[in-house]
Amino acid sequence: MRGMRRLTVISLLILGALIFLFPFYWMVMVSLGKPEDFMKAPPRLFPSSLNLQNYTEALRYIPFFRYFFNTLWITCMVTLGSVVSSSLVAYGFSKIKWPGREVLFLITLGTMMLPPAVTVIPLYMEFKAFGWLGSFKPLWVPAWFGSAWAIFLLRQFYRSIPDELLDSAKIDGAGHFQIWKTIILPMSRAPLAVVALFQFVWSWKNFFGPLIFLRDQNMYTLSLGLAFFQSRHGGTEWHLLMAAATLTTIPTIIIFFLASRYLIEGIKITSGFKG
Amino acid sequence: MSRKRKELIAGLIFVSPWLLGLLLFHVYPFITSFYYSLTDFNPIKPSEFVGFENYRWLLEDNLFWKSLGNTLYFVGIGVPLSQLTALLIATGLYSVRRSRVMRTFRGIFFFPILVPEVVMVLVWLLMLNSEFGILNSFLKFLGINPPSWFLSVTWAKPTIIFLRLWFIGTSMVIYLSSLNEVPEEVIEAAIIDGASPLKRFFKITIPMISPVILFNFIMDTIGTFQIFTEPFVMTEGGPARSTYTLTMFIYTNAFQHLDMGYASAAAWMTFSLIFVTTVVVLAVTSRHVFYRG
Repeated sequence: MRGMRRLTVISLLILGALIFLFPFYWMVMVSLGKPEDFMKAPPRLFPSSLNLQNYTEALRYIPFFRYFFNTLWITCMVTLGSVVSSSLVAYGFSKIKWPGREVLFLITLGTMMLPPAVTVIPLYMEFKAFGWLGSFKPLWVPAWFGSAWAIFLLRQFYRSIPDELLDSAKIDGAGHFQIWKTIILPMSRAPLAVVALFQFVWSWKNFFGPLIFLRDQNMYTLSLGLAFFQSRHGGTEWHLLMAAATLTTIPTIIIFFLASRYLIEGIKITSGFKG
Repeated sequence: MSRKRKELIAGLIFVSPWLLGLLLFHVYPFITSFYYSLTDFNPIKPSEFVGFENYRWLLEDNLFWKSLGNTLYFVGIGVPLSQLTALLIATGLYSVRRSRVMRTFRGIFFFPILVPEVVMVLVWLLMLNSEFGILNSFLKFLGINPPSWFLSVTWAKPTIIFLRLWFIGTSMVIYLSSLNEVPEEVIEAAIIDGASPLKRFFKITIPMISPVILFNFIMDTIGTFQIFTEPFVMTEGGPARSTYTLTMFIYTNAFQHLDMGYASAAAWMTFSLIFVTTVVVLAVTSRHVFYRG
């Protein structure tokens, strides 16, 4: 009886996993095939031959390297900025006692509930006034002022570090900045990795931000470029589009294999305030 | 200088980047967007205060009502379906938690949320293509006549809800970790009392994880109220505006018609709707959610 139930659960999980994986299987198969392999009904399940030249063609079909480096630049700046600033801010919210700290932190949490659609129009006008439109700045500069989500996650972690650990440093005359640099930062490699990974993934995937702030086609990111090429070419060159889509997905696949454990931990920590 | 004073100054210095960011990128835009919603505002001409005119026009705008209706459809049907899927998968994973395959399965169900939505939508556009889409061939093989998916007014919304089922990773991980926290003694006591697995699930597990269910529902509802990328890339709001959502309405008015006052009013309507929904859900469920400790 118990064995039967277990077998049923595993079979259902296998079925579910196959369904979940199928779109990715299909993306890779089409990217390796010839158009005549799958642009017919029913399509072939495997390509008739391995066409790796689809990938070299895809690099020219959309300005892949340009979009890749645009995306990489924005993503790295966002990741670096939010890690550095959120770590400092989270220290200020957890290891220094000052009046008003808790109220400000509640407001910080409140901003996570604000829909981007509400703030995007004034932000657009603001960035226009700063002279940032036509550059990548609207997409990465705000990250250098901290991200509410990252501040929350790091504050949770810093609160778990006992104050006694910092006291001896304080007696030795170390200031807060020195404590942050020499004690806190080396201890928080794992939570900082969680923050960095999530910021990387979000920024890499982001579609709404680039759609609003990037007007010049040369500045497009991969997500925006793929969407634009699909609508422009009406999906005629599916094998090339799928090759470009596969290449776009590769960084996230690398992150997944290297660090899915951190990502899963991060989700658990940030959902930890639900009670 | 007193110690307290020093700490205050140090605290403010450490949070100063965020203090500035909070004002510049959150508080100021939030308040300004309400002001914009009371003006006739176009970036290339001076704005004019019009009171609540924009809101009055919104209520008479059929397209606004249509996008509101579509968004509510995505929330009302999509959120329960996604959450049910996430909970089912988490329960399945929980029941094999001691075996080595658990991590592999969890990884597979988690992976799609790391993939850009645009990529997922493109793959689905190909798989659901009416001429050579593989899903249609498969359905025909089973003897089912496939609908025209995103090209049909009836099927476009369900198609988008369906492809969004691939993005349940976050909810699933949260469900799974909460299932792991249900004390095993309670379950074992129920087994000794002869409770069936189904009964144990509904009478013990569900009440024990009810705060997490509520949390996931609220987060998913807030997210789905802002649904944009999938309908924008897949159908551009079509066919016949059947997938046109509130955020698309705001985007189009603000950045294509440059009618930013009107778009801001729509944004504030959306925000109020999300806010009211969240408060109502919290109030209604407060008596049914079980908080431990």
